[in-house]
Amino acid sequence: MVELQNVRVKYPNGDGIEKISFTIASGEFLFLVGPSGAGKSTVLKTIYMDIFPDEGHVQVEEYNSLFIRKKDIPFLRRKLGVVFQDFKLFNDRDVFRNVAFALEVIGRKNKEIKRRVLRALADVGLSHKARKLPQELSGGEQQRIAIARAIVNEPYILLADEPTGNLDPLTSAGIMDVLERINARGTSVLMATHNYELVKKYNRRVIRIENGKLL
Amino acid sequence: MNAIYSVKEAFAGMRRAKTSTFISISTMTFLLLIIGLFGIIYLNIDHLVDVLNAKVDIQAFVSGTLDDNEIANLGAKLVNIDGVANVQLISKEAAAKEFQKEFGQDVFDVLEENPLPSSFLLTLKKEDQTIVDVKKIAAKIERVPGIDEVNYHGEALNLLNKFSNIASIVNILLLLFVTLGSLFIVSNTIRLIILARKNIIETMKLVGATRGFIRSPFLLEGIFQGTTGGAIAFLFIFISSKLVISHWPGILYLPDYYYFLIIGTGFILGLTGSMVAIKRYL
Repeated sequence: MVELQNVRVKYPNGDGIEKISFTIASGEFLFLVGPSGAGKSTVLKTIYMDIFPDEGHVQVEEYNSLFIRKKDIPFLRRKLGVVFQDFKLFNDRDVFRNVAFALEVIGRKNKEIKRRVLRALADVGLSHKARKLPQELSGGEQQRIAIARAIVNEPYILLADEPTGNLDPLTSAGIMDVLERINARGTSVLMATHNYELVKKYNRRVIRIENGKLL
Repeated sequence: MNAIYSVKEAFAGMRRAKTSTFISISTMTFLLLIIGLFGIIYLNIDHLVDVLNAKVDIQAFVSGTLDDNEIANLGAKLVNIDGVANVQLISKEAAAKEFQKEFGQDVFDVLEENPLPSSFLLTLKKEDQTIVDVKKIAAKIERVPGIDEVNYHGEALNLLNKFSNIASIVNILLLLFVTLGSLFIVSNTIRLIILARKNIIETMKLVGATRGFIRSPFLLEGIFQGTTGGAIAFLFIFISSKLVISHWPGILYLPDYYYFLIIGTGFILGLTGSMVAIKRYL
């Protein structure tokens, strides 16, 4: 379970989020909707504990933002998958190595890496592009690779920050299909987006945020 | 932690930042050569002071009124003074012989009698051969009844020790300066490598890499740069010192451990430099 309780984060320039409380149940698909600058990314950052609340707390499985030790943060992150609008892929290595990276850095064995990467690439429908470099792929394909990297470690929850932000409607629909498939297998998904039209097409729980507050 | 992965990443990092790695290793080599050179100067001055100090004797002249028996008793007293290692009696006759050796003339031919007093030549224990100790011991000897006068090369020793102290301070200051320079060079190269790999580091953090895992390639890079610089400096110093020694044997005092000290210094400077960069920028 992921739970945010009265979370407040204030940036030095006065922006931030306030009194944010919600929970995400196991296996749930949740949209976090709001205009640019509303605080969506800040909410996600408190969940993967890149920033910590000034007030309130965040609970992710057994980890609580009030009590987590610095050295435990990597282990919290292994339970999460994170996807960004700009994909954050490495152009110096092929698709296989990009996805494998998430397992290499947590010290998995080669045999296991191979098995899991091929599985994740199959899940996003790009097994045949394993040896391509990211820059040889379309935007939609690159985002699918980023998703494959996020799910290769079988996370408890997938956090997607504007995953369709750079993509056309048709490609976006393809990404949504991938996210739904992953969710259908039991992984919770929290997707932050400013695209109300996209959200309307899916019958999922939606929470709205504006000026750092939930509506 | 996957050690092979860290080593691979370390070399990949240096390959990506070839120019700054090359500059860093060359500068480290140059600075370690300077450190090595200062070290050799310091070591040789120190060695020279040791050697010369070891030759410092105190000569205590005996009052002319004492007979042989009293002189023997006096010798026994002197040997019991703290810091005195050995006492050798130079009799009036031996002094006369020494006079003849030095001046080429028998003292009896000139004066018809031997005015030279008997004396004791006192060698000091190794740990008491500093100028302060020599002065103290000489003062003690001077107070012993039956001793007329005490001689030692105080001024020369004083000067040598002063020179050695100033040389040590200058050496230490220069070493400090060069060491700080080396640390700055390594940490700056590592900083550039860290900046060039900002994206990869961010992603590593996001997918749950531990701090040690993220940091270890950078530590290895620093160690590699420092140790390589040390090894090249070692080669330079080794070859040139052997050449010098083969041409002028005995001119240089250079114990074998010194060569390894240079490589070790490179290792430590590389490790510390990368740790500084990691702490500040990672």
